Amino acid sequence: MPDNDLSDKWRDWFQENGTRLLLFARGKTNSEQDAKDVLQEAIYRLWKSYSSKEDGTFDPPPLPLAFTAVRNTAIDFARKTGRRIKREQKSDQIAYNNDEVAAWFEADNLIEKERAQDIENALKRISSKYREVITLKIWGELTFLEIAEALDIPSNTAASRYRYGLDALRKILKPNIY
Amino acid sequence: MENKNKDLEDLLTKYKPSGLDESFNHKINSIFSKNSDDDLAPSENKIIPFPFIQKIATVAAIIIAFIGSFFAFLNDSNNSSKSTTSTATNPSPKKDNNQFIPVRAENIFEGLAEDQIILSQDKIPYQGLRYQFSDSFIWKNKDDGTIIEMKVPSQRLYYVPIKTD
Repeated sequence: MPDNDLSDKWRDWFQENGTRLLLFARGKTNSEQDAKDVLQEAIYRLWKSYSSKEDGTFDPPPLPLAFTAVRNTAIDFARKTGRRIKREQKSDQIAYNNDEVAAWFEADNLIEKERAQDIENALKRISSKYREVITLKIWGELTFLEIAEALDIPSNTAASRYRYGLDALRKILKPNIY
Repeated sequence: MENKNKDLEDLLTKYKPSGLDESFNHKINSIFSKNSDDDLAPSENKIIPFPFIQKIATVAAIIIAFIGSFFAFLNDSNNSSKSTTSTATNPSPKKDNNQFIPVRAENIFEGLAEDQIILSQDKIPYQGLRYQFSDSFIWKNKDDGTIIEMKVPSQRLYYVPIKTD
């Protein structure tokens, strides 16, 4: 298969799934820049392992695997960042946070923007294990079986986390939206 | 329950994740290009250039370590050869014909004399008692029956506390 075709396939794949992967990465990190770094690293890892010509697998990975890659990269990233922060605290360095503020969701008008912000805030407030399942189900459009595969948990657990997560979201959103 | 969740699901689905900005999109798309290995790997995977000074320092450290271990090796080999030599020159006790073995050792009490009284740091008086001994040792040569006798006078001084009350 020619290299250009391969690259185009991956570009199309990322065009289709990039935003949902980034949303998942946002839920796994503390800032927009960290989320982008994690996603870039995860895509790089996937490209290196999946586009290998030796094993003959050229196609982009299935979406659950891509989410798993983002999740694992975020865990590695958190460990590194934790060590870095400890180092900086030890050496009395000041870490400046020049992070850009980016909204998690698109919105056309001011009211929609406000509601999108409420949803984003509510997602940030619920437990991360609920957030990841909700993100994968609603915006990743995965089945519970695929979520279970991506997060390495039983599918029943994925389903119950989803229900509990929605309940938690509803409690937070109720005064503002319902 | 299902309907309750359906409302919330519909609401959440309505909001789409925000798009990727141009520069980030470009970064990701560049990964998929042919020569992505060198210039677009995430920063931690990049090869950090090794400065010339550090190269020299590394080479110097290796040479110093090599010289150190070489001299340590030399020192070790000298020590082992010395010990070999000394073992070789010393006659083995088993092969010595003029070997004397101890046959008697005596400790004879000869007398007791009072010594001076001393005062210890905690103000207790002690009486000195000097015991006189004569220690004698006899060695015999097994082969020719020669005897060596040695007498050594010795004294032992004991301090005994004196009861004052």
